[in-house]
Formats: sequence, C-alpha cells, structure tokens
Amino acid sequence: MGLLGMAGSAYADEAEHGLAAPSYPWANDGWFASYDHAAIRRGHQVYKEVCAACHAMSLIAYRDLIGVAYTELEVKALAAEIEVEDGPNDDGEMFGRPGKPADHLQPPYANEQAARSANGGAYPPDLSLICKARHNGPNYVFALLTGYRDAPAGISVRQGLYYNPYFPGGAIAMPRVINDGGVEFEDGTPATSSQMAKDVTHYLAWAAEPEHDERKLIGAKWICGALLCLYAMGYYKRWKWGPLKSRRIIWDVVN
Amino acid sequence: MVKWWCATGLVCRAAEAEEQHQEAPQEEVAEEKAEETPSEEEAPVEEEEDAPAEEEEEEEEEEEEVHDPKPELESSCKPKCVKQLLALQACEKRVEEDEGGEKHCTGQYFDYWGCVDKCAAPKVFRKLK
Repeated sequence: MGLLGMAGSAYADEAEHGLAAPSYPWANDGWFASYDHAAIRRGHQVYKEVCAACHAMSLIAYRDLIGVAYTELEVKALAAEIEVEDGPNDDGEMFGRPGKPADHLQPPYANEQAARSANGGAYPPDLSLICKARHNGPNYVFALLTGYRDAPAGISVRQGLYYNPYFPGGAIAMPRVINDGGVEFEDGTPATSSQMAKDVTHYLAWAAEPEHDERKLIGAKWICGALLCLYAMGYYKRWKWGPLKSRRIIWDVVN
Repeated sequence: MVKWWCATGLVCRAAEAEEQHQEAPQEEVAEEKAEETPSEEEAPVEEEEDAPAEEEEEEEEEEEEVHDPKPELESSCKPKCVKQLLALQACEKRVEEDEGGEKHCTGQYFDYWGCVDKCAAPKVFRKLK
C-alpha cells in the first residue's frame, strides 16, 4: 500500500478495514421473509461453474440442497456427475465411485498447501460459512464481487494482486471472475454480473444459515404464542389481585 | 422476490417490475408478427427492405447481450455525490503533481464511492430478478 507520512496515519485505517459495503435489499430481509429459493438454485449453478474451480464448500452435502434448490432426483443426478474417493475395499485399495447425495461438495484442491501453490500463495477460503465469517456478510460478498474498480490515484497493487476497495487492505488475490454472460441460467434469467453476484451471494447466505427459513417460522409462531400467553397471564394476575386491590380498610377507635 | 404484502393489493414495486419484465418479451413477439405478415404478402423488393430489420432482430435474439445495470446506476448517482467527486478529482490532481510518491486518494475515493453505493444500492436489486 505504500508508506504513509505522519499526517496520513489516520487514513491507513480506512484501507485496512476496507470500504464499508452498503445495505442491499435482500429477499430475506425482515422478520417474515424467507430465502428466494430460485435465487439459491441459480446461485448454486454460478458457484459450480465459476467459483468451485478454486473455492471449496466442504461443509455442504448434496442432500442439503434437496427441498431447498433441487428435487431429490436432481440432487442424485448432480452428485453422480462427480467422482468421489472411497475405500478401502476388500483388497485394501482406495477406489473411485460416482457421488451420492450424502457426499459433501468436493474441494478443488487436496489441501491448503496445494491451494496456495496454485493461487500464488493465497488461499481461496472455504465458502460454506463465509457469510457469517465476514462482517455484514451478504452485503460484503456482493459488494466485493461487483466492486472491482481502478485503484485511486497514488495506490498501486503489485503484480498478481487486484484492487478491490471492499477487501481489507485493498489488494485481493482473486481477479474479477463474475462477468456478464458467464453462466447460462436454465430459467432464462439474463446473466448480468450483478444478477450472478446476487444469486451466488444468496446461495452463500443459505449455505451459512440453512436453518434461516425454519428459524423465522418457529420464531413467528412462538413469539405470537408468547404474546397470547402474556395477555392471558396479565389478565389472570389482575383477576386474582382484584379483590385485594379494591378492598376498603376501615380504621376505627377501640372503645 | 415478491413480498407477502403484494398479494393484499398494496403498492408493490416488485410486482410492477415483474409486470414490466413480462411486457418486454410480449412486445418483441408482437414486433415479429408485424414484420412477418408484410414480408409474406409484399414483393421481393420490399422483402429486401425488411430483411435487414429481420436480420437485426435475429441477431439480437441469438446474441443476447446482457447489460449489467449496476454501472449505469452508479453513474446516475454521480449528481448526488458531486461534492465528494470534486474532492476526489482535486486530490488526484494533487497526487499527479506530487513527486514524493507518498500521497494517495484513498480517503476521497472511499467518500465518493461510499456515497455512490449508498445511493445505488436500493436501486440495483429492482433491476434484477
């Protein structure tokens, strides 16, 4: 980032924290809003075709997508496309077999070192929990994916890094990968880079918080029930205390 | 994503956006039909005149150039952030003239783009599905 003079030390913090992402109006914002599952489906497609080359999502199993983005048959077909190492067999050897819904999404690299060596020393993080692992997760991820811009005057990033104001420090190892027309959506949605970024972010938000829809449903039911209980308990208390609070006490002279 | 209150008949921007999305392809279909009927009935001369127009439409259908709305929205937000933009441009000029190589415009850049983001963020999603 270049050395800063004494007067510039205050400004070092800005680039360090990165530009704060704005608040986008996500479909699941609000107490009663669920995920947009069509977006989750498109987002999974974007992940599979664009991001999975470098980023793992090892905590997500294919069966987690059933009822969320795909039907059971679709998930079985998706899983069967990949080969998974299993074993050892009776001869003591490891063997490859087509994937099953119970298998997790396969990482692109065998281990972190392989990932670093293939990406110039930088490790593409696992995305299973990225929306919870970053402050203001979904907004940050969307802003980052669509926020590749020319660096401000006076800032240069070294060869191999790219400028992104939202990334802490400003110099990110990932180039811009979400570009117009990069993916062909099966539902015919025009694949602009903003659309792809929005859908993949929604998918990542689901991956980090798959319980979200059920949580809000349960929350709505229980808070509603609790309010009714509150009313009933308040009424019962006032009813029991009524005689006591409305009694008259007469002090008289003892003769 | 259509919110639940759209069903109650209250004003709903998401529903309006969906209607516009449905109107656009219907207009294209209407244009195709209008072009087909004259070219079938008229003489070859007029077919040649219609041919380039039809070719253009066919090209549009084959090479659907997707148009990202975000950069447009960001530039439409420039008038709201003129103060920050002018500060950024002044800074860039100072940096250009600087020989020391230590000056940079991160602060003004963040102020400007923070303002543009805040203005454009609510609008971007309305243009997307």
